[in-house]
Amino acid sequence: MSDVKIYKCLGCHAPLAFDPTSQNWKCKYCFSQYTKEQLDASPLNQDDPLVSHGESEQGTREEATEELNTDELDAYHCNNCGAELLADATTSATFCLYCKSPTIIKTRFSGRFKPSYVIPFKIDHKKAEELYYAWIKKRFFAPKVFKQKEEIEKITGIYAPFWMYNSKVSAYFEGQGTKVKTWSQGSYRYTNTRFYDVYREGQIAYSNIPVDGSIKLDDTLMELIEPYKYEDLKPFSMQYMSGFMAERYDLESSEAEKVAKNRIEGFASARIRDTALGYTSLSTTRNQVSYNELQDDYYLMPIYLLNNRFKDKDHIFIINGQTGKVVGQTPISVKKQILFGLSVFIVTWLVVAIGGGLIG
Amino acid sequence: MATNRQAVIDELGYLSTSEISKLDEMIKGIRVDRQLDVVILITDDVEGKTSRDFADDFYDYGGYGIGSSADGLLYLINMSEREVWISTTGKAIQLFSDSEINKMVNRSTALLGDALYFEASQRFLEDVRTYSNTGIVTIFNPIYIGIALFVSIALTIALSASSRGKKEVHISTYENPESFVITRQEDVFKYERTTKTKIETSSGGSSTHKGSSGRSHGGGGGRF
Repeated sequence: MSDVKIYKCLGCHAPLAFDPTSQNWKCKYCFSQYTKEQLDASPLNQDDPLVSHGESEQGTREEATEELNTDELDAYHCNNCGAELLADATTSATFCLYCKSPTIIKTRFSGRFKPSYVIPFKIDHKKAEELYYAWIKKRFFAPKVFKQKEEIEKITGIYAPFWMYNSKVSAYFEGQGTKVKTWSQGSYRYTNTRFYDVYREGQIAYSNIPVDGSIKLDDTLMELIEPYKYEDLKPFSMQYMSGFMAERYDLESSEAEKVAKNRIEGFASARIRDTALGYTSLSTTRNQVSYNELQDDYYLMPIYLLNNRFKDKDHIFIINGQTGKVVGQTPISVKKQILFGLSVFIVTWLVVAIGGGLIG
Repeated sequence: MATNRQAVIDELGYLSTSEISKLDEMIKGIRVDRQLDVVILITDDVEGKTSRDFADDFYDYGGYGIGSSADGLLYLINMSEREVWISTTGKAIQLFSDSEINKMVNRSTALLGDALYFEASQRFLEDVRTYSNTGIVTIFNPIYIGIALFVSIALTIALSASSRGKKEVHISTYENPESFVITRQEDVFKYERTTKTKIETSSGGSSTHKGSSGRSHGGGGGRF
């Protein structure tokens, strides 16, 4: 059994790729289109029992052996033409360097690297380019030269690894609140301040808090492309990988969990504090979040990645492959900032000075 | 705007022709630079009125003042009572606070006591020019510059912040709907405190009164 897999057209045996627009698989050569059911029905293209999810079949035992067999090959080869695949230590789906066939490295989806769910790409490559271009045009302080750069074709569609966390927490808040009232009587202004001890406790449950499981993907940007719409989650199948790159995680769940906890604690403590209403000021004496439950899971979710190098600096852009949201490290032209700031200053100054002169 | 109303009216001949034209020149300058009308009136017949009422009425019924609020001042040397009175109208009321009027009156009585009528008038006009400086040059008012600076910096920062992309996740994005349960809610009143402060009756401290014409005037005076 080969370590790699290429999904093939039932008619002409050319490689198939998943098409985000139709949510089906298309053949580049004969333009045939197949649904998941058709793919599953074909012996050529079924998901190997090795990595199918949730169904009980003899594959599960094989899976166990597969897990014990942890030797990885140094290089993977295309089973269409034998050439080497474009892959690094974490690549799990890629393309053949020579024949360009979309190829899946099966072993990198097995055992603990087997995702439970995936959100298939909703946006195709062309749409991703359009979204990036439209977004970068709107970045007010980006240098004009940068906006005109033609690096757009280098956008790469990647299934990125995510650790997903479900949690049930108890949140505790203790603080001091004030309620202030002012009124005038005669020639005096009165201020009445009432001081309270405030206590709040509650329980909250969270689902599917994502944490980026790839060390090389920028965490800040990966958080900015959230949220994904979980209605589109599908039980994982390698078939969706065809035509895209995919990465497996290299950040362990124990590390990712720390990030998740930070986020959960931020959400929960704000949520409980917000229930103390009606105070003029509210200070925190003590707050605490404790975990009743914390579960992890492993999903793949789609992104488009672009590295736009400008003046010897890497500018990374990420597009959410489902919602189309664009985020990135846009360069900022200081000249444009100064020009803008100066013109706003002059206009505001004139308006305020003339307005003040008229009123005064 | 400027009709041929006399700015310097010396009924007692205490000022020479050259002194009157000098004062006239100064008043012309103040009208242009400060947008304030100024009248200097030396008389010994105030028609039985108080210096204050006579000064207010002379200004109002004489049609003095610049702009819709008739901004300006009148300087009355009332020889029948040996009293000086400064009457303010329109924006001059706020421009010249009670304390400033007091200072101007004190300087006047010192000079008038020595019969230095020209010097007193001249000093009065110099004071008008000086004390109104804070109001007119509003363009360079540091408050306006401060506001403009704040707005331009805030807008620049706001637009720069959106260069990376907007954060869409809020505290309840990943919360299970209806899973939030409050198990304890206590608001315990401890104590209260009330303070009181006196309110300033007028900003800049200019007291006003109404003249017979119904128009408000500020000002003050003194004997010499």
